[in-house]
Amino acid sequence: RGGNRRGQGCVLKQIHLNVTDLGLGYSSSEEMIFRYCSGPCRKSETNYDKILYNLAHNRRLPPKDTPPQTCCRPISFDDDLSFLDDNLVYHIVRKHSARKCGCV
Amino acid sequence: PAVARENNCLNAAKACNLNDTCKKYRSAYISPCTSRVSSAEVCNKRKCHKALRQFFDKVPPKHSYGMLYCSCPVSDQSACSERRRQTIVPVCSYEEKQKPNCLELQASCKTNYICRSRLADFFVNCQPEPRSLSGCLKRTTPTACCPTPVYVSPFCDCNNSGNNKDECDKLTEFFTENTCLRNAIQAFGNGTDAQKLKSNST
Repeated sequence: RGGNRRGQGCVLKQIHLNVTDLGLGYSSSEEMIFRYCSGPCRKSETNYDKILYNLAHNRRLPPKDTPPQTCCRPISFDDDLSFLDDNLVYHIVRKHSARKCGCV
Repeated sequence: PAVARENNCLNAAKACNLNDTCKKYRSAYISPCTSRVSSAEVCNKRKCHKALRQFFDKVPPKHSYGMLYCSCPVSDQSACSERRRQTIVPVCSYEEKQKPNCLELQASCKTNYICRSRLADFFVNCQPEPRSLSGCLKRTTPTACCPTPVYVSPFCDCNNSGNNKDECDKLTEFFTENTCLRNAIQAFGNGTDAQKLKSNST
């Protein structure tokens, strides 16, 4: 639900692609819509994030453990994509495209 | 530079994947129709048929029939028409180890409620009439005449028909030499029925 929170810029965007553009090794002339999550997640979502941030800032954590901030990521995925490749073989790609975004 | 030849069947597939409903139900039948269930069976035929029926029930005809009845140049024997043939995943949904006799297949269809009513609809809606301009007895649309792909020609033949050879030949000709059916499919490919289809799909 983070994507909907005020002040969060994490949103769903989409781009029209050829299946070959995915770079997954398929050669097909078919096309698709790829949806992805993008935008800042600067505001901490939970106390967990605040504590980690504070600990890292006060050097209470080993430097190499400095945790990543919340990220704008898919929290659910689009329906499966199917297509026929140039050798007339069907393929199905799962969890390839975002449906909903959140700061997680 | 050479102009790339239009592949209507490829264009229909592209259009399907850009439409959320079509994309969803397409994958929903490709999955069961292409998943091997055992070393003996290429797929679960029952699940494949069910998902195919759902595809044609739920997806607007503009997309579903666009893929099934896309028109290909007569000269084309590969890219376009092979793609069209693959629409229903024939290796799973269509082909059997042995071709049954068409009259036997018809008899087994009549024991199934869905198959019986759809076959009856097909005989009514696709009755050929050579004297009419459309080739059909009834004023019909491609969607009414060809509600599912099976009707293009069922997987059977008239071997072992015995005394009923004539009856069997008549049955298969209704599929293979039906001017009403052929014109309806052609009309769809030409887009001449687009208006009627549009109002059907909304």
